[in-house]
Amino acid sequence: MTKAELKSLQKKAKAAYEAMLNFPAYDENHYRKLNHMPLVRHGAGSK
Amino acid sequence: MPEANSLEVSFPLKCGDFYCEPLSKSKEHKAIVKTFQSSHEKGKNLAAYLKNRAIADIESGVARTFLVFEEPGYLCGFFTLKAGLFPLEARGKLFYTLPGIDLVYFAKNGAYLNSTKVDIGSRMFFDFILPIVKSARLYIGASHLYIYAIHSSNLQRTYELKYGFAYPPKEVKNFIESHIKPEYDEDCDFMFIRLSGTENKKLPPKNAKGKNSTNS
Repeated sequence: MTKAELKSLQKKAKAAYEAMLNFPAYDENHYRKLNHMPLVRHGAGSK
Repeated sequence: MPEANSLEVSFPLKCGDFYCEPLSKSKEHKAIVKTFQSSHEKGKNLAAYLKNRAIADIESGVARTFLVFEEPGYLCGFFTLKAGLFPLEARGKLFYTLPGIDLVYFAKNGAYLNSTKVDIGSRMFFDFILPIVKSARLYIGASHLYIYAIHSSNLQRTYELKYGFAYPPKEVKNFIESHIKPEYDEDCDFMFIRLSGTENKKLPPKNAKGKNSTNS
């Protein structure tokens, strides 16, 4: 493997890592609405 | 004394007529787990895990299993969580890793499903699994919630469309599964949710007291 090929592979791998790390964050509100599940506060201030 | 955080949960975790408890060695739990029936033909190992292995995993600290009930004590299902990570290819034998929470098991009780029209899967996921995951993330970094979903177009579609799990690109998926796919999940696909950032949450305003639920 040439240096250029290796560099290209590394670049591709880093891009894949960053794509997973920066994948759009979960839109909980969207999926709650979709499933008719209102947000419930369990923690402090809920009682 | 530091202020309690609104994302912290305590048990039993209650939500309407439903509640969630960590599996224990109590007589009640021992009796009730015997009644668990897998709701999916490919999920027989789920029942076996709950009945034979879950307590040992709790005692060794490997995983935590939670039971979900409907009042006055019908077992709706269970789920198991553990800390995890998954690798992403870097170069040669090196790899990147991302920290996550592994939703090891997410199982509905077939016996309960036959007696109700409640969408218990959504109840379990939104009212108990996500709050526990958020609570854990107050203390431990975890960027993803992931699951190895059984090969079943319906089940994987449910995870994808109802709960929002995504598949990684094929190359990434192959790399992950070739490195960490557990033997018991051989017939499964890696799916994930990218969890949102963990900015410090403030207590709800005082006038929020007494409100148990709010529409999102």
